[in-house]
Amino acid sequence: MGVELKNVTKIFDSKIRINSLSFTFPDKGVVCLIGDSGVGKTTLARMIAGLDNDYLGEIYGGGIENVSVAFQEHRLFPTLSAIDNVVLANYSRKNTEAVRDAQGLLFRLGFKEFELKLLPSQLSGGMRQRVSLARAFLRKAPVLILDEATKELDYKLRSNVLEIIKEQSKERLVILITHDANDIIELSAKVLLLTEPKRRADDNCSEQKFINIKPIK
Amino acid sequence: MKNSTISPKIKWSLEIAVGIGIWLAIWQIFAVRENNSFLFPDIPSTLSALGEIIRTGEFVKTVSSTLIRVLIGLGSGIAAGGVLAVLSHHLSFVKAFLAPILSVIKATPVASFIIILWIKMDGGELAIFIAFMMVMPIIWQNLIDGYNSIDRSLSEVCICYEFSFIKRLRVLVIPNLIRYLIPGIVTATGLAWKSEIAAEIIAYTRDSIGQNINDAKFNMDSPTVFAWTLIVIALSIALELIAKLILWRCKKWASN
Repeated sequence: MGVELKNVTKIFDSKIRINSLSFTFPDKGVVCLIGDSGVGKTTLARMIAGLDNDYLGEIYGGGIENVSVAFQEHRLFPTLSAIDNVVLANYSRKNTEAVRDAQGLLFRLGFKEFELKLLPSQLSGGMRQRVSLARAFLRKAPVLILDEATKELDYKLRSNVLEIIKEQSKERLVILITHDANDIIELSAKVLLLTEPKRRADDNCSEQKFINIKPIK
Repeated sequence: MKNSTISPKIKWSLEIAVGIGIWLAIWQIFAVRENNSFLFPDIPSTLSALGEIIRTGEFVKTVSSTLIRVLIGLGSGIAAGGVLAVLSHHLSFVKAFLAPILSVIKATPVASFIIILWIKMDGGELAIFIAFMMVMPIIWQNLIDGYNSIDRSLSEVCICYEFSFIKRLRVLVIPNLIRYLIPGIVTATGLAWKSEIAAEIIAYTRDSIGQNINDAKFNMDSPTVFAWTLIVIALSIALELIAKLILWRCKKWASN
C-alpha cells in the first residue's frame, strides 16, 4: 500500500502553502521531495506522517502507525545513550534482536563500539544525525520519511546512508527530502518537485511535477 | 610547563575546604575582636557547647523529634506539591485555582503564619504544618516549570514512535522533572528547617531544637545557640544530600 494524496491543501499563516495537490506514491522505492526552502516539503512530510492534521483533502496510507520519520533536527533523548535512542524508540532494551540490529546499523553508519554508549551531548552533529537515521531505519513501518538525511555527512558516510536507503526501499516506500541532486541520481529516485502555488486567479493547482531521473553513468 | 594532575573533583573539594577555612578564620577573628562570648562566641567555646549538647542524654531525643517533624513536613509538602503539579498540568482549572493562593503563601512571612496558626494548633503540629506550607508551593512551582520546559519536539518523537505512557514518562517526563525538582528540593529542605525551627522557637515546642535554642537565648548562652545552629546546618546539609542521592537514583532508574 502506497501513500495517496487527494486534493491536499495546506494553509499556513493565512497563506496557501500547498494547493490542491494530488499524487500517488508507489508502495516501494525512493521518492525524493525537492523544492525551494519554505515551499512546504517538511510540512507535507509531517502531514503524511500524521503529525499535522490541519489540512484540506485526503491522505491515504500515511499516519503515525504507518510511518517512520527521521527529523531534520535529530531530536534525540538527552538522557539516553546513542544505542538506547535507537533501540528504546522502537523496542525494549531486552529485545536482543533489536539491540543487535541497532548495533549493526550504527556500525554501518560509522560508529565505534565505545561510541554506542555516549550521550547525545557527547556526540557531534553528524553523529547525532546518524543516530536519528538509525532510529528511523529500525522502525518497521511501510513508509520511511527522511528529512535531509545526508546533509551533515562526509562522502563515505553519505554513501553508507544511501546504501541503507536503497536496501530499505526494496521493502518499503522511502520519501527523502533533499536539496542535493546527487542523492536523487545515486538513488535513481523518482522526484516530486514542490513549488510555490501560482498566483493566477484561475489556477487552483500548485505546480507539482513527477519526473524520473535516470542514473548518470 | 608540567600540567596539573589534580582531578577536578579533588580540586573542587580543596577549594571548598579552603573556603570553609577562610570563613572559620573570619569568625574567629571577629569573635576575638569582640571579646564577648554573649555577643559573639568564638569557635572553641561553640565547639565546647556542642560537645556538651551531644553528651547530654536528651540530644538524640531532641534532634530526632525535630528531624521527624521536618521529614513529615518536607515529605508531605513534596508529595502534595507533586500531586497538585501533576493535576495542574493536566487540568488548567486546578492551576488557575491554585496559582493565586500559592503565590500568597510564598509571599507571606513565615512568622505571620506561625502566629496565626499557633492559636489553632499545638507546637508539634504547627511546626510540621509550617514546614509543609513552605515546601509545597516551591515543589509545585518547580514541577510546573519542569512540565512547561518539556521539549515539544521530543514529545512529537514519542507520538511518532508510538511510545507507551510509561516509556514516555521514563525517557522524557521524569528526567525533565527531576532536573527542576533537584533545585526545588534543595531550596525546600533549607526552608523546611528554617521554618520548622522558627515555629518551634515561637511556639516553644516541647523536646525540640527550637525549644533548646529558646532556652539558651533566655539564659544568654550564645555558644549554645551557635552550637544548636551548627547542628541544624549539618542536619540540613545531610538531608539535602540524601534527597539529591534519591533523585539521582530516580534519574538513573528512568534512563535504564
